[in-house]
Amino acid sequence: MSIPVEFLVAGGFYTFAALAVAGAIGLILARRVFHSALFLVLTLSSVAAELVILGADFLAAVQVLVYVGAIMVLIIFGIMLTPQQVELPDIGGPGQALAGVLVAGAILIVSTVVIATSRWPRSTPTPMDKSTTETIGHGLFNAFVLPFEIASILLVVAMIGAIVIAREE
Amino acid sequence: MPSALPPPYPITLQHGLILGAMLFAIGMVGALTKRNAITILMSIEVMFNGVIVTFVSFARHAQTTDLIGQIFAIFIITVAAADAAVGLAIVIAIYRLRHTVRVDAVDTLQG
Repeated sequence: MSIPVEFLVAGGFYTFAALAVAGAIGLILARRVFHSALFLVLTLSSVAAELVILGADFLAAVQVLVYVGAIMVLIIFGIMLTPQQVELPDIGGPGQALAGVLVAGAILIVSTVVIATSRWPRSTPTPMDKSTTETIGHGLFNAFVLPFEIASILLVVAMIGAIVIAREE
Repeated sequence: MPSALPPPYPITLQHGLILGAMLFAIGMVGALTKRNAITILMSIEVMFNGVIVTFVSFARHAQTTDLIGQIFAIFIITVAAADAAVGLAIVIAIYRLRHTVRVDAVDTLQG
């Protein structure tokens, strides 16, 4: 008597989807910025688990290294370097909150209706015979070599720009 | 049921797309309503993650095995890293100038 594989996959997907959404909601509702950052770690880690379930193991490792590692350290440095005024409410006034929820809710409803009513070609995934790392590397250095070089230029420009902007005169 | 077939994959394309749409919408609520510039940057990261989940779902259920959706997700992560670096540098520069990181206090360009 063993648990079927599809039950484990579905259960993992729903569990980590609920964790990711809960972390995103907690990010908005948290009163202190540091708590928002911790909720963001929950969301990013849950999305990494979802990427594993969706068959993107290399991308899940990149997600953990870049997001949970680098970007979160950067954000927490930003929080430490700018003393926070915790006595003021972080969320906008009722009009601003209502407008934001209305706009985002409209986008969510429209995209959900489109996803639910569209006719997708088929939903059985294609079996993979090669590792995702090999396939991604092959694509990056053949068909996508120009975007790859442009992305590296973008990173260099962004790093130089960040140093110039944040430098003391 | 013949046992030679692989077990059915229970997650359809729509599951991943709806998760991506939910993350995108919740991140947009945060980006539109929060007042702290660092929290707005974090909400934008949540929106990036919704797009990544969407692309990876499409790559999972595509007819081909060249994983173009995952390559697009790599580029999204690159842009997100550049975005976070420049955004936090701007936040620190604004704090040095105005001694606040609240976006409603930085309204010099408002007519």
